[in-house]
Amino acid sequence: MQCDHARILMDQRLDGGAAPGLLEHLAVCASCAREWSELQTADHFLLAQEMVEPPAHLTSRVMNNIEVKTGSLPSWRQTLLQVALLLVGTLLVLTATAAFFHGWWQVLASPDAASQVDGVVRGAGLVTGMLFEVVGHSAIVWPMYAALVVAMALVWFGALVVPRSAPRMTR
Amino acid sequence: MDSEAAWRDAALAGDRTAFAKLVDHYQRPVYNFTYRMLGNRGDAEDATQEVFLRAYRALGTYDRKRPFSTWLLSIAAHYCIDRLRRRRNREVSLDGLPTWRWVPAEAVDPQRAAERSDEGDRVRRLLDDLPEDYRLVVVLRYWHDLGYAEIASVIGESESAVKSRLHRARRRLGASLEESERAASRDSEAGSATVGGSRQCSAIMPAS
Repeated sequence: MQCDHARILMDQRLDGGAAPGLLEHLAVCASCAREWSELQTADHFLLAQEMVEPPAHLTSRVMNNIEVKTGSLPSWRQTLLQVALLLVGTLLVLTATAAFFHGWWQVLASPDAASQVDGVVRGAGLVTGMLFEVVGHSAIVWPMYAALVVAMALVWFGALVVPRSAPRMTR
Repeated sequence: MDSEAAWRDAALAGDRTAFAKLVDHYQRPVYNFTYRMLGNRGDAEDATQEVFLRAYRALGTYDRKRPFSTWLLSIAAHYCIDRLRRRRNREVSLDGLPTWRWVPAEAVDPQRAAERSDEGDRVRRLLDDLPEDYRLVVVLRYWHDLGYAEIASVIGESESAVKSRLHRARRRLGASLEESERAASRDSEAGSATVGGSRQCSAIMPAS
């Protein structure tokens, strides 16, 4: 018998199966005999081990952790929130797009400087453009526009990504 | 339909109370698995919470044809392996010191040293000495009584790979056990007066 085959038989024997010819091989092969001794020692030691008891109240701690980490909402509220966020996000995108094209159309169509400035303001976005007109011609219009873009991104993220990662479970 | 299957189906349908029953049912095997993989109770409890949280979040991906226990242990196995790799990487980064060999601080921590005195800690040290993928198959085989096919399913490897790892793991464990028994018998013959002192001095020693 080859030693490779003897190793297969050793594992079979430890698993409770038959191992024909293994003992004869072990009697003449010192290397396999040592290996078999090691395997048996490990097997006996491991079989004697027992489960440990988990800490008390582990289940309630697990469930509290889930409650805290997921902040689960009832499914109908999640759906409502998702639809509302999608609507708000869509309105923001449409408003900003329309304002942009309307403003730049004014720039191209009108030769006078005042209309061009007005067009640039409106091209910056309806909301930020109106604020720009309210606060006067200051440099804060572009940060406002950037804030609007970030807000839109957050709304879309909230509407599309967060509901997928949160479980839809009820109490 | 048995109660476990009923809880599982109810949890999949969105019943949190049913999921709590599944947690209660599986907390012991999951906690034991993480304890044997990570080696201490504090990490095991953290890991158990994380495993159930991940399972809760991934319920939508659960395949009903697969046993729930196997699916849960698969999540636990991946989490523990990741955590052990991160832990090892932290230790390796300390190994960057060129002329000194780093021995983890826990080796001389009084509290941890006291914990090592019992039989349970002997098991922990033996398992700690095994590579993570060997430890994984040993724990699944001996503490969870899984067959080769089930272990292969949990860790995503072939049955032959599982058998090979288990064989090598047993050999390493057996060799360690026999060596420690021989050392213990030598110590008892020669007396152990100087053993404590030599262990204290081995915390930081020059690389050979």
